[in-house]
Amino acid sequence: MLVRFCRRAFFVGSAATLLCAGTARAQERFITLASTTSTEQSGLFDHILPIFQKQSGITVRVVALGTGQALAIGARGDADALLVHDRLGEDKFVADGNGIDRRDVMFNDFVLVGPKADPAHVRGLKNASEALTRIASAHAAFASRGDDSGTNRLELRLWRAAGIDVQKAGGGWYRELGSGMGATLNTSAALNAYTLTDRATWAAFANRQALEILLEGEPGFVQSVWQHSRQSAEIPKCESR
Amino acid sequence: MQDFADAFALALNLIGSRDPDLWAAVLLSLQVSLSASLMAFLVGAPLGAYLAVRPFAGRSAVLVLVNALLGLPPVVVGLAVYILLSQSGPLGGLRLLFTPLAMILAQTLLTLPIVIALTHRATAGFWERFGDSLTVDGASRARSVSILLTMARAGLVTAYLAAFGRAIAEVGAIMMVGGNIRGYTRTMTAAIALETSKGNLALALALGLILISLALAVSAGAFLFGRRR
Repeated sequence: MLVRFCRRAFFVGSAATLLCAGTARAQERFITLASTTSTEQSGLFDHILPIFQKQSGITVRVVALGTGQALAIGARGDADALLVHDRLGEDKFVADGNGIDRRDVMFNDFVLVGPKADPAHVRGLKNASEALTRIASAHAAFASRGDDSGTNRLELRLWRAAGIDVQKAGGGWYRELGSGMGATLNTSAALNAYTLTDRATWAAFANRQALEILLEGEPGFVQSVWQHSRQSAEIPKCESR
Repeated sequence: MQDFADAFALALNLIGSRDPDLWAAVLLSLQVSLSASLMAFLVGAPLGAYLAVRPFAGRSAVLVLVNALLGLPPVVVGLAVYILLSQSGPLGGLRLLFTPLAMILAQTLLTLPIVIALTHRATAGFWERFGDSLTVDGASRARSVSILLTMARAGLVTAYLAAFGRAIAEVGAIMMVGGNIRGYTRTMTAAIALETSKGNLALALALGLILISLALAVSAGAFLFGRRR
């Protein structure tokens, strides 16, 4: 009897989930916001989205992606608004007719984190170029996002400014991870590697182990400005939205 | 080992708590994976048995293809479904992208080859033994398929569970087409990936333990379902 009941319950359960999924498409009004991962991880949305929803009656569905991917899905019409940080990519996005109304919304600064032991002696330096030069000459492990994110692009600009070609830097100290900020911080903590991170992700990051901020407040670290581009209503495929 | 102990305690705490995010993720994971594996099963099991019944031209090629698709990379399925459902894609008009239905679709495609291949494997032996008698009795192809499926019931449970297991454990495809939207398309696996990236390793592991318990419950349910009366 128990077996028979379980059988029926299992089948009904499966059928019911199928049915629920079929009707799960919410009837509420919503917009889709493609945002960089670090903004979501900073906890900002938890604070502002309920307020926005109360005022406007519109639900915001946040899809957290890297800047490159967010721009790509925005160009395909899959997001109504973007929150990204790569000025060059944004300008191209708007110039290509993919979006309108680009605005500066906020800024985030970057910090260089590394092991407390600081084998390359960068603590207390005031200059990013000097710090990167010391890391390179000490062959101290450095973890790079390597994912063409806004943070990665900034990091590569800083290496160029320091006159170091990381692609040719031998010795295996420069590791390109191809990962998001959180995964890169996890790896850095495990490798005792230096890495460049935005302050918001760092502030919310729990697995720091021996990592700590070694360099901050460098003028070159505050150049990232976060922007907001709204989808153009002129894109035919977006008109139905 | 402290990490595992912490995770275990945290998992128990979480289960006791009424954290709405957790329960939303649990329900969604079950909803998506059960639906996807069920659909894959309903379509795939008859196809698998059909492949076991009477050869036809190109059957070997189909079998090789289906077996190769067992190794279908989730991220590729996710990408393909994303492109299909994108506003710029052929099915963009359905506006399914970043919804649970999109996740179900991706996981159905992902698990379909598993059901077909395992059902074929489970029924082929029975066909070898009883195929001739069925043919002599004049059973039609459809009738043979249905008889084979009844015979191979135990193997079908395995096929279903393998499909469900792949679906509930999967994260690459559903993150891509579901968008990992909190409270709407964030499954357990997506939550685990997210907490890991935030460095909350104990919490991530605790979610993993809960997910494994879920799989255990479904496996037990399927076991009872598949047992002969």
